[in-house]
Amino acid sequence: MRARWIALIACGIAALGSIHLSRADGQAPPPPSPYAVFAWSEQGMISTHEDFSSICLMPLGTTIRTQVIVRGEEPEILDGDATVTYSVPTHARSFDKTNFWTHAQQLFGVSLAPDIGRTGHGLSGTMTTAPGNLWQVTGVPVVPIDNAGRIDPYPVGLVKVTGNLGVGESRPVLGVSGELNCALCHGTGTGSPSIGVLQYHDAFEGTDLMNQQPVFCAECHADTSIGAPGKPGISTLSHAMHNGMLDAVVQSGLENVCLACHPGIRDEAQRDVHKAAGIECIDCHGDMTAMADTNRIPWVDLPRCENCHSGAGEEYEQPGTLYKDSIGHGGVRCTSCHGSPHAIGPATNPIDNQQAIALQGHAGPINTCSVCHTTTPGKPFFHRVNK
Amino acid sequence: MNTNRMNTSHVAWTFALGFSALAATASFSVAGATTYTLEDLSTLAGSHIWTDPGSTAAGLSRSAIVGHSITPAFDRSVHAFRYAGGSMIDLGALPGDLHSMAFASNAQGDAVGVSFDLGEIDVHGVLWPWNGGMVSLGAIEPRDVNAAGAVAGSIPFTGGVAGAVGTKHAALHLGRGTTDLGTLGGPSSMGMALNESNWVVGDSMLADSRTTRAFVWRNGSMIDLGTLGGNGSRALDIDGLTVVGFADTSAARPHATRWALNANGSIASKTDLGTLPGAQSSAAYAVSGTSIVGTSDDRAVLWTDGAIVDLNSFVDPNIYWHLTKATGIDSEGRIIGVGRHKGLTRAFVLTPKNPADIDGDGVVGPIDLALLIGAWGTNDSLADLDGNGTVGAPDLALLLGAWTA
Repeated sequence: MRARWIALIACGIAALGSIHLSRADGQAPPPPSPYAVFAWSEQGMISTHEDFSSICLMPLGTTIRTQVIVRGEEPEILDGDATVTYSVPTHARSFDKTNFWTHAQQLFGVSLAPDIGRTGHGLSGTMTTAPGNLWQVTGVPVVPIDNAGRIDPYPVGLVKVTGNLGVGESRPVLGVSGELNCALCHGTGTGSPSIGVLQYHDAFEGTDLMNQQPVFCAECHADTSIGAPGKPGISTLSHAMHNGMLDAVVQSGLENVCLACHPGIRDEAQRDVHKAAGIECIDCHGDMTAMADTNRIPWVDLPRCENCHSGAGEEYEQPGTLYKDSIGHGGVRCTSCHGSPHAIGPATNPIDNQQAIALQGHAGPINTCSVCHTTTPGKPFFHRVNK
Repeated sequence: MNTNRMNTSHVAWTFALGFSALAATASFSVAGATTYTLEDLSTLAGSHIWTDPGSTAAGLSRSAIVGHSITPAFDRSVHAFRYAGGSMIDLGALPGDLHSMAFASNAQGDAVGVSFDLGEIDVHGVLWPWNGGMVSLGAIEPRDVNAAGAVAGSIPFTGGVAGAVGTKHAALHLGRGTTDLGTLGGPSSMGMALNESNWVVGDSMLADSRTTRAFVWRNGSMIDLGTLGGNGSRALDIDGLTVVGFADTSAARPHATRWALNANGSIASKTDLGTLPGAQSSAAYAVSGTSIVGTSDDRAVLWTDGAIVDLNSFVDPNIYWHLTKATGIDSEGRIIGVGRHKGLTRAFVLTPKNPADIDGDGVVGPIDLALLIGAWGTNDSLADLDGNGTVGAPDLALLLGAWTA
């Protein structure tokens, strides 16, 4: 009985808090919808580049994930009986902003129609269900230039759910950066930095890449993040890059050497609550030496929340499962409440906080029961799986 | 027989004939006969900066070229520029903003564009008057300005719902305020250009929240310009009653498209402008009279006299330039755009070169005449102005007809 009263009081305080913030914000409460829709970019921000005539280091392709909760006294996760569509209203076409499609046949051995990504999906379409109570679309070829030609590495997508109970929508930020640039170290008087990379590779590795342009790096160097298995006996792309750049970036003089290659000077890959707390890349990922360690498995050996976070009776990621793939309260994905990796709320970029504001009236993790519950829950909230 | 005297008499005789042919001299045809001088606009950070986005030219007027460029700042900020007389000037950003981009310039030389910070919700419209300074235009994101100062662009639209970002509505800004032009039924639209009658063109989502269609807005009415048989389309420029952009074909390939409008705004005709041979796609970005420029599979192109011309065909391959997009053209045939110079993204301007300007100094005068006479009777390609294989009287007539000294 006492626990129930505590739970009621806790949710009441949370509800009152959200109402107070809504009034203080002067914003209208979210419109009533039978669904609570959570959508996010799987990686938070992907890196790509405009010119593919010499090298393809990071191809276009963003993965959008969505979880749909049927609001109610006992909310349910919707994994069927609905149509989930996606689009990117302000970044509707990509074909004329990059030469990706001009060189796709040479790079990937497949002809891609303009504005269709490597997985066969375009800039708008329908999501399909995926394991883990998800809806998902992969390889969306969004670029960091909007319809009007403005540089915009934070395109806002539009996800719409149409089900038996009605409609719902969400607006995820689909971070994509073109800041990736090899010019800090490579580049010649008569060629681009990409040419400099190929010349360097030929000189030191005995290859003949200059005569094989355009070159898809992951054809040889495995990159599981884009489904590229590479070739046996050749280091992964992560190892090749981090090991090969180890001495050069240290000599770059940059305070944060990660930014020699990864977006962060102009476009913010890391723009989350951790950054706001002064936590830098190496605090979670380790330094270049750690990244170049051949014992590290790229895209598998990644930071875990439980490395720093703990609380009595609380759970974080499942064993052997990353944050981006784990579930928590009621089977809800961690990313549904907390946001994309590198954009965990409250984010430092105002635009990343808008989905949470639309759902509960304020930024930060989803901590308002009424986002999913139409009545005050009879049980307290625990940061645990299925609780 | 004194050959030299005879030759001199021969030249004098043909010179006299040349004068009489002045009145019959035709202007040089652009297609096939025109050549260009190519100029690299460099960047605000100098010519050797290797950091993208380099520079891009977006707007062209009689007095200047406008666009955006990387700045020398470590933060890789991007600023709008105005380029004239071989000099690129930083137009700056509004106080508190890190970046700016200029998209268009009207006949007077006033430029419009945006000032913004990445990751922020609000993007600010800016007018840079031809005589200096900058004026905030508020929430509108301008994309074009006409001679009367009317601005076409977009404004943020949330429908009154908190957190509903990422959608915009096409807008027309006149001196007395900004008008929301609405959409074709979907959540979002963007205004891209306007003509001197304040007709606005752009693109809008349909009610399915997925399909984007070109539109023309006139006197409160937005009309869907349709496609070439496929799904979507975009309108990117308008000159008088001619609209250009691109539309999807039935094979789902985007092709540059020209729409001719009637005086009441209805569609008179829709033309597929085609692509370069073997190319998958094309898009038209600007129109001036009957000349249209754009891109086809990463190559800057010009459509004129019913033909598509690869502008890279005018560029010496030994100077490491690849023109990727032509973004503007004026009534004098000057073309601006963006390309890769030694692999680095750079704004360019192509200026039609008078073939009679043999020495390329910008003037047709005594030096050109001397060069032509010196090449008399040969097949010198520079002096052979009519392209018949021999330098002779017709070439002399053309040179005299183009005299500017």
